Amino acid sequence: MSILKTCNVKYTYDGKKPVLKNISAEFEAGKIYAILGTSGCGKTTLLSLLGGLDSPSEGRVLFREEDILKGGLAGHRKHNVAFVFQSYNLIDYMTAVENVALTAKLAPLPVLERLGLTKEEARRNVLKLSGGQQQRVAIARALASDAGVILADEPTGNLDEDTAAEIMDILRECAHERKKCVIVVTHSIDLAQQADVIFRLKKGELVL
Amino acid sequence: MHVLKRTLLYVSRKWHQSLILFLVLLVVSTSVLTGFAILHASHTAAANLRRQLGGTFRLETDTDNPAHRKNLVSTDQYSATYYAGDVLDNDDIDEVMKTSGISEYSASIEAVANLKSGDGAYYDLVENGHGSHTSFPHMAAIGAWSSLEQCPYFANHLLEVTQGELITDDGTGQAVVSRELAMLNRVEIGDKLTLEINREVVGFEVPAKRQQCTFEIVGIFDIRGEQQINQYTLSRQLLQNRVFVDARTMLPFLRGCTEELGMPVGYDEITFSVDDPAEMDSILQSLQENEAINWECFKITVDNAGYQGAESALKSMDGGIRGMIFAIAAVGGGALVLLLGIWAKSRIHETGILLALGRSKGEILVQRLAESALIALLALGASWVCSGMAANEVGNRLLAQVNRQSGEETKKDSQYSGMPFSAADFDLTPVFSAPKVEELDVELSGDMFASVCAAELLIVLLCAGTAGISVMKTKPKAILTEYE
Repeated sequence: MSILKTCNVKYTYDGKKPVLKNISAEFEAGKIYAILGTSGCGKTTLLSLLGGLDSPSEGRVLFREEDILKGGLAGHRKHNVAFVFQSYNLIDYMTAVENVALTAKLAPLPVLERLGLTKEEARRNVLKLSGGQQQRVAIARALASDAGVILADEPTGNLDEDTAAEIMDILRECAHERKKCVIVVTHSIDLAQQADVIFRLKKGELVL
Repeated sequence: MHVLKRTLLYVSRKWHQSLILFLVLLVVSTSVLTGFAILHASHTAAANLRRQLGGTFRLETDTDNPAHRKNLVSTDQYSATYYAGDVLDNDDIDEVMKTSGISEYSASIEAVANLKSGDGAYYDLVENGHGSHTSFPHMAAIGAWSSLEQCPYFANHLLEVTQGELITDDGTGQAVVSRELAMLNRVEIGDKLTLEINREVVGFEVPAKRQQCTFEIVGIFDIRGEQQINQYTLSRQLLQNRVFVDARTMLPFLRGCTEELGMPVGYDEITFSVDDPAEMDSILQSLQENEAINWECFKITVDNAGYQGAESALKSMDGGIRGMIFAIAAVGGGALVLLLGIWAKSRIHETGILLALGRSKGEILVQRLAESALIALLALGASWVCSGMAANEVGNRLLAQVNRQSGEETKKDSQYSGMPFSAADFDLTPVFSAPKVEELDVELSGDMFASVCAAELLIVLLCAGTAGISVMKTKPKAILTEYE
């Protein structure tokens, strides 16, 4: 049974040229999905619609078979989904623990330690951590929120190869061991190939 | 994480920004509070200054009014008249002093009389050093004063009571003599001094039983100034021979002396000082409604020059302070709007992140307001202390200015410049001592502080709210896309 679903989702900027056309897809828990596409094809827009950062021009997004508009987009973002961004989007005046605590339903420190941060690093201001460590904090924040869906937008885009591989391992572990539905948006075929299911976004349409 | 914890984290971690906002709020609130304190103090200072500048009016018999004059002598060659209307007496003083706003009075009579000691022996007078040439060897000038504190000889420190005390409003049957006269006649404080007025002194017959009035010597004075004395100076014109007595006892004595003639004797004039010269008109209006005083026989002359000279300066000071408060509030308010606007814009990214994490716009707005309110409360608390210190400093300066201005006015009034003076033509206009202000009440009242706090918090919350709302109109996707 799908945890997240899109039904004939369309999206246009200012009612002009459509970016997304009749997107219908289903996403299940325990799997990692990759949405592959070139820059500007609408990948991030689709991810934003799935995460409730924006609403579709037409069609619906369902979480556990319920329209996310029903409980409100803010509620959907707070309870159902968690984001991991390319530029981490951490709050710069907080430590790693405090950033994770922003959404935490689970204790932040064990989550951070499980992702490889020491206690000392966890209590450091996030700007004093490396890029890889900051992305781990972002993932920890997503995990600690205990949301069913993790939406990752180019999560390794700013990282070197080794660190990128480590991050993908973590995301895979989130899907397979923690039974999260992980959706990764990327333009990297190598990264996409590590997913269980790969969607391609071409000319506004999503194909397997 | 609770909104209050995020508030505390932001205020403490972004301390540079918090400090700037704190300082702006501190400066604005301290300036406004100090401004209000100065305004309040300036009103007190103005009231003190007015009191120090003083205002007096003179009540005198209208001797020029022909309706009250009678013929004394009338022949073909010439005629002479005398004033036969009501004269000013102690009852008139009591009636005038009933009027609200009048603080003091000064009444005096100049006379001459022979001086006698308690055992009836005539006093010897101090010689002028150029040879005696008077045919009245015991006759001295008598100054009868309601209070010697207002007598210019004593007020200007030409004479100083160095033993005993001055004659004050309450005194009756009291006299003050010079040290030289006391030593020459071997009298001291507590001894009796009798004034004698007879035909030899005034040129008309005085009933025997009314010729004398006895006083007790209560003070002995020394002469501090230098007198102009030459061969034409009469002994009785020397200050050493001058005797001061209380007017309340002297007036009935003089009246008794002239009763047979039917010529009324009273105070030529009585000078009254008012608490606040700004109220002079209303005081006089109220006074003239008193029907116990015969206004057909008396006239009033006002001396309010000191206050009128300072009035425009006091008004311009008040206007200047109000303008300053308005300017500070306007500039401070503008600075706050600008600062909080910049602050809100610099936090668009943070807003986007919090929105992406599912925080509601209302919760984010509450955090912004709580941050501003927390800093504003700290700044207001500090401004209470700062403005208290500033107000004290301003108070001291205002006090110094008030005392300086008052001192200048007093100096202008003072006749004695250290140069030798002549007792014969000395101006005996009474001098009312200005009350010296030791402390100026420049304080911040709780009401004033509460008003400024409420106004400033409202402005801060409005500014923070307006700035926050405008930023949060943007969709979270648009914000985060901008920062990707």
